[in-house]
Amino acid sequence: MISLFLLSCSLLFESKEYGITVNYTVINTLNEQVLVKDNNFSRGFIPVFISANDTFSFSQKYTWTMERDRSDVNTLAPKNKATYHFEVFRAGINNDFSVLDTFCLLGPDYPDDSLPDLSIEQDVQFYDTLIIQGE
Amino acid sequence: MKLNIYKFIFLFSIFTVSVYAELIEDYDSLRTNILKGTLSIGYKLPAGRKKELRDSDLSLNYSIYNLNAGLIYQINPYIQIGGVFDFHSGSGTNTQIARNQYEMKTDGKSLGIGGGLGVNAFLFQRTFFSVSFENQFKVIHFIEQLKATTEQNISLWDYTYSNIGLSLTSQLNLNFAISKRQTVSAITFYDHSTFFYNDNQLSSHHDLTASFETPYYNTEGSLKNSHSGFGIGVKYSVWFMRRNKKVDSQEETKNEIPKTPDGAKKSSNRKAVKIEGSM
Repeated sequence: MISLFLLSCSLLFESKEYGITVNYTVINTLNEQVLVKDNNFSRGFIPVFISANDTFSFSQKYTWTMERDRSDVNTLAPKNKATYHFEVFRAGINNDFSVLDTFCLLGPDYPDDSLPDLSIEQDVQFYDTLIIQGE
Repeated sequence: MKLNIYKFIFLFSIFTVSVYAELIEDYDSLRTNILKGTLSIGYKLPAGRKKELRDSDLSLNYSIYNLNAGLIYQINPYIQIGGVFDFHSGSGTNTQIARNQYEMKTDGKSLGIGGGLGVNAFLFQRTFFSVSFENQFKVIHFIEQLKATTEQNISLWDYTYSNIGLSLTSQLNLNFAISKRQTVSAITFYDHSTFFYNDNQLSSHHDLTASFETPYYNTEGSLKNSHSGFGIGVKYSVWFMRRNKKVDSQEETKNEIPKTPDGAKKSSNRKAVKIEGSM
């Protein structure tokens, strides 16, 4: 009984947590307020209002757990993008933010030259910027 | 290292079962019941319920009513295991400050149905009062309607999604027997559900499939609900089967005095023999 319990305890230390942090900056160059929403609710981005000619920044940490000593763990493929898919609504004349203005894709810039040796076990930082501008 | 809650509960369950296996070794469990059906109605208070979004937690505190039915196999007087079927429903409105910017009002409605495995371990048991630790692992089908607006009535979200997920409910029950078949329970619970959510809206705009093919982390994310707090439940139980009282019947046979065919008691033919010896 005790050996079974101890064996089960060892499971606690078999896995390891990995993570990256993606830093996003959204710049509103318009002369009116905008509402920025992620159209994928499950990603959990709370909608944000950005004033005219203002900037909003946020960062997201993506973590995952997998078994220790996996050989390919140190390689982060370019396709593994932490991509946001934003809808931007202008305030409009009625100030009701009802008109979709742009549909934007925001993903991190990867340091391609470092990909082969990229250690995702460490907290690697990625950056991307979305500029909201008029026609 | 961050302790995984699921592993902790798993280990705690193993530990509990192991300890009870020792405790019941000498217990005459063969004389107890085997199979029972249960039907319970519960109410969970509107607190501690939230949706765990990646960017923030969204409070969805509203009352939950649930109807739970089970077919329970009694392994021994302390451990019960069986199939459970659950239905729950709730709705309510919450207000919170989002991003320190604006007041967000959320109207939520949820409906869930699921089935799975339940394990109930009794930590303390008397005739009219018992304490039990209950775990339920369920596959659930969950429908939630979520509308969020600002105080100026600007629409932020308007989602209705239906999904299938996994749910783990751990609860500590203080059970008070009010009749032979009915108990009222005060419940302290923790419930965590993970739903595998696919947002089909994405495909209508861009083909992002390549961006989301990832074996290590999922940018799509999955919806996670958690709910902890207190509740109350009323349970009705019916035993279907009982084990034979093997030990009692054996003892009765052993103690029975043989009778002669005419009904008179037969006296023993044994005689005491005094053994004497010399050293």
